[in-house]
Amino acid sequence: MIKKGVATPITFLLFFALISCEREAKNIILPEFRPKLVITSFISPSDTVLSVSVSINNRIYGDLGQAEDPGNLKAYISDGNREYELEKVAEGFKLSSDEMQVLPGQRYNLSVTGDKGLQAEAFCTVPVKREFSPEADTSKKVYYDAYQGSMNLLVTRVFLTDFPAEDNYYRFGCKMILYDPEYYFNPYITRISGTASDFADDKGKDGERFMANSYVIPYPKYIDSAFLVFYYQSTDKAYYDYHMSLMKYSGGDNPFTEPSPLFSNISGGLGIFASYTLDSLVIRLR
Amino acid sequence: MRLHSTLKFLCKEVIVISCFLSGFIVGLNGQQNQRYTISGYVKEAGSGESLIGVNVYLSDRKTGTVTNNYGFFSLTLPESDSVELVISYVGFNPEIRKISLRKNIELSIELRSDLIIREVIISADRAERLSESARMSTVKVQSAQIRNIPSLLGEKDVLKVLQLMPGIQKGSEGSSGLYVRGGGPDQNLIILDDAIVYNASHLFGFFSLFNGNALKNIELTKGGFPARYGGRLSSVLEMNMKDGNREEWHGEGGIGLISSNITVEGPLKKNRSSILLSGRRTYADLIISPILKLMDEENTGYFFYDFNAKVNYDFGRKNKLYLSGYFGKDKFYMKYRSTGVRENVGFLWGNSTATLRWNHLFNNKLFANASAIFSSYSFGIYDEYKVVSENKDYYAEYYSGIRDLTMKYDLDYLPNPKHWIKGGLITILHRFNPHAFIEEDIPGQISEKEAEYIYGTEAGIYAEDTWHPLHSLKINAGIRLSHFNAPGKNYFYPEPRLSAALRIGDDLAIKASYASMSQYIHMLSNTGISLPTDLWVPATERVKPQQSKQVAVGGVRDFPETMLSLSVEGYYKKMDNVIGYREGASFLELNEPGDVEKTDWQDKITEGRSWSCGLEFLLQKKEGRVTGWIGYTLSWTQMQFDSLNYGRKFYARYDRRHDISLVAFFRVNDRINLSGTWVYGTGNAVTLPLSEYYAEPHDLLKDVHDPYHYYNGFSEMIYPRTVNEFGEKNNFRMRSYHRLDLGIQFHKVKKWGERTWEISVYNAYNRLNPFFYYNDVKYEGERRTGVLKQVSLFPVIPSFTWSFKF
Repeated sequence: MIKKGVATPITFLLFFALISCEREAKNIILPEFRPKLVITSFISPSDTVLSVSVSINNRIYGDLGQAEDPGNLKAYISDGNREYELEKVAEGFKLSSDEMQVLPGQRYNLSVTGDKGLQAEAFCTVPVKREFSPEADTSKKVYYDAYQGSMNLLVTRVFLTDFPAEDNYYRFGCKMILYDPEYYFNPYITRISGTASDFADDKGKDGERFMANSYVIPYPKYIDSAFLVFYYQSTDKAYYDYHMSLMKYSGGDNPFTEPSPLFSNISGGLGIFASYTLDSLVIRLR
Repeated sequence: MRLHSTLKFLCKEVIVISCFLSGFIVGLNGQQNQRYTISGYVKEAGSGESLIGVNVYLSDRKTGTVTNNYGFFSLTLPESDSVELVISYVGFNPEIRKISLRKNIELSIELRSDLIIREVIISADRAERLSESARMSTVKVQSAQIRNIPSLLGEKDVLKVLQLMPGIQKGSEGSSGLYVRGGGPDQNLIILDDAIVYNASHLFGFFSLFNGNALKNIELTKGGFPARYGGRLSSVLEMNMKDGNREEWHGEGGIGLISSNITVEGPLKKNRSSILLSGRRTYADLIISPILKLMDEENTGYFFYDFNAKVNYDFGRKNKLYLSGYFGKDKFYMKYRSTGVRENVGFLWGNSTATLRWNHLFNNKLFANASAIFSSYSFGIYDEYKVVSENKDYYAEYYSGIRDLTMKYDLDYLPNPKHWIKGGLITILHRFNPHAFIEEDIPGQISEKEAEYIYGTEAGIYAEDTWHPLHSLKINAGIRLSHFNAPGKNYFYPEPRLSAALRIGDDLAIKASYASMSQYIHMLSNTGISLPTDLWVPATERVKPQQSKQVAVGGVRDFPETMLSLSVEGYYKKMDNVIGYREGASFLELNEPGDVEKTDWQDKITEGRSWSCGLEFLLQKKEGRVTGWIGYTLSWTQMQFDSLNYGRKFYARYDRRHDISLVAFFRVNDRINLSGTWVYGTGNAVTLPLSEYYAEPHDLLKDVHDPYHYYNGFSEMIYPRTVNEFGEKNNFRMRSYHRLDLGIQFHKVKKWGERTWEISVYNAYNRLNPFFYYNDVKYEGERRTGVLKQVSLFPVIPSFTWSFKF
């Protein structure tokens, strides 16, 4: 049995020993609150709709009942030649690809302004579409579990070839589609990704063939056919940095470690404006 | 291969240095016609304990020297019918010897302890004034002083006494870590009898390893480093254990609230050989554990112990042998028992050192010491889980550490009173184990993962001379050449050193120094407190050695009529390649066996630079019924990392604008002493959140069924969450820290020896100093208010200690 988080028992030990000596801090100058727009947008040539989610940050000191009102907001996106105004929707803004198609290799500037003085802007450059030559191999593996005994597993490894002489960032995703003969028109679809190994950069493997990810699933004995759909995104650095920082995020709750802030490339605000291109590979398991 | 290239480097340097020294020595000796040498050892009468730093000088005060770390002195003077030699040392009656200097003379001097003077003074004795020493930026602590200063829970602590001196700060409440002139606790070289000590604290940094009863000499250098010191940027804390009483058996000990200690010393062969044994242990677990067992309750406990031992033997005047060691351990454990299940969980850490030293006197001017040293620090976590009914046994272990094997050779050459030449070399073979190391034993499936050890060889050669070109001018000049053989890379740095003192009149001196230092090993610690999980790692091809350059200028004024001494010192220090953690990095997580190979600490750190400057004042009163000192430091410490705080400069966590210490001892009479300390410091700089907001990740598959989430605990990055906004790093100042400690000691001489009762109060006016802050919400009906909460560590704490001597 392996214990995770060495810091946890030490922290709790000290924290609970100290908890009786706590009180509200007085005679200190608390950080000043400044309202900021929070923008979240990920754009891609493969999307038919460009979405921008906009909200506002909240106080953490003082009266928490005060809701900050950003006022009337407007959003614009520019490809360097022309500026487009986005349509306002419930959670932010959108723009159809019929009006502006997101193109690989193109830089876009996004700005959001409000009539109460709040404004924020950001830019990103969509990665150039590259050929990464995906390939997969699948093998069977026998696993012994102390309780369930011998189990057959399928191990699928997916390989890509990195594009040389440029910084590349990747994100992978995978879903499994199982066709049961009894429910052929209603296949069972489930995701089998969503961990830190879904992200990669090309440090130490520039221009080389590398294993993007591997997936281990129980052998679908009673299934008529089974597929894996492997998605691979080529992202910009901001996309990668944002998600890595979200994974490692520490809000300062543990007094014995330094807080780890979330990455943001929004000037005058918070959040993320990033881009990616998307490809997929279908792998037949059975 | 690594050792071979290092040895090759050393051989070349030995040849160069030897040629230089030989020419220098011949030149110096050529000047000495009709001069004779008085040499010898100075010891304490009644114990035979060698005395370090004893002043040996002519009564006209124009010529003199001090004893070295082994009590040896040498003074070469012109031939004379009569020479009056004065030998003086703090707390001892001075000796005066009238000598006819018509040939070389060997003396064996014993100084008698002055029992009338109970309080112990800092850093200088009656005869030597601070203005006479060439060295600056040094702090000396007497072991008796450690006993007199009131302390937390009555535990006397060397490092906490040092924290009362200007330029030396603690990191946080109760911590025994040293932050010296803007440097972190990893930048201090702590040596005990020549052996390096890595994690120098018990109980998460609240108490230091060092048992003051076993120590003879404690000296900290924070600037103006002589060339014989190297390997760390900010300070060298050199401690020497007592040798042991060579004439009769003695002992001392004490019983306190959380630990007890005993020290026994005596002759193995009278006047030739002695032994010293000293031990300390906490005992709360010994009392509580049996009670918990009887109640069949979960058994939780903690203890620490340390043990010092030293044996020495004199093979005559020219050869002496010393063997000393330190062994200490901390252990925290939990034992859980229920029907059919037993679980033991715990973590333990500890240091071990062993030093074998050989002193050899070539002649009355040339003294040598050779040392072979072993030093190790390790930390481990274990978890054993037994299902008794099924005869299943699961065991997992995690550990890390560092181990050193060191060879060292030092020479002292005193050709005449104007020169004291030192030279030597050192080689350390480091073995690092920074990676998580997991062993897992499951019935029917044994899995073993072994992290690779990393080796590095560190070497240094130095030469220095303390030169008196004029009576009023002393210069210490030296060069240290250091080398580190890291995996895939060699580093070599010359480190010039210079310090000078110019006396103006009898009691005033102006001093200045410059020192360049290199540090080849780093300590990784991403907490604000000293934890046993702090890792030591080497410089590598990617992670360069740390380097610093420090200049200091100061003045010292003695007021002999009032026995006061005032020193003022300003410094500026720049440090390069200092280590910082990348945001989000942590070294406090265990890895799954499959992940061991993926762990690389180098990916988790970043390198930057740091600047520190400050002004230090120290006013000391050395004698009389009231003694003590006032220390004040005004300082700034900033850091800059390209990958932290958007590349902008920020204040270090332990940047403390003002730091004040008031320490006073009052000898009421022969039986009662009073003592008190008051400390004040600007609060630490910490990072507080500014606001919170909703962060959304991108997820192409967010609408796809996800059965594994609840079973495998996919990371939260898939789901939106509320996060904090942070501004500049270390943007907030904690409340200032201040505290008053008081103590009273009652001594009584008994037939068998002496006993002392001490009553002390830590934090006498119950100041609730903040240890850390956290955000919280206060509810008053429907109203919600965001507040900052403060957690404090130690309120007023009385303690009682009973100690004895026989």
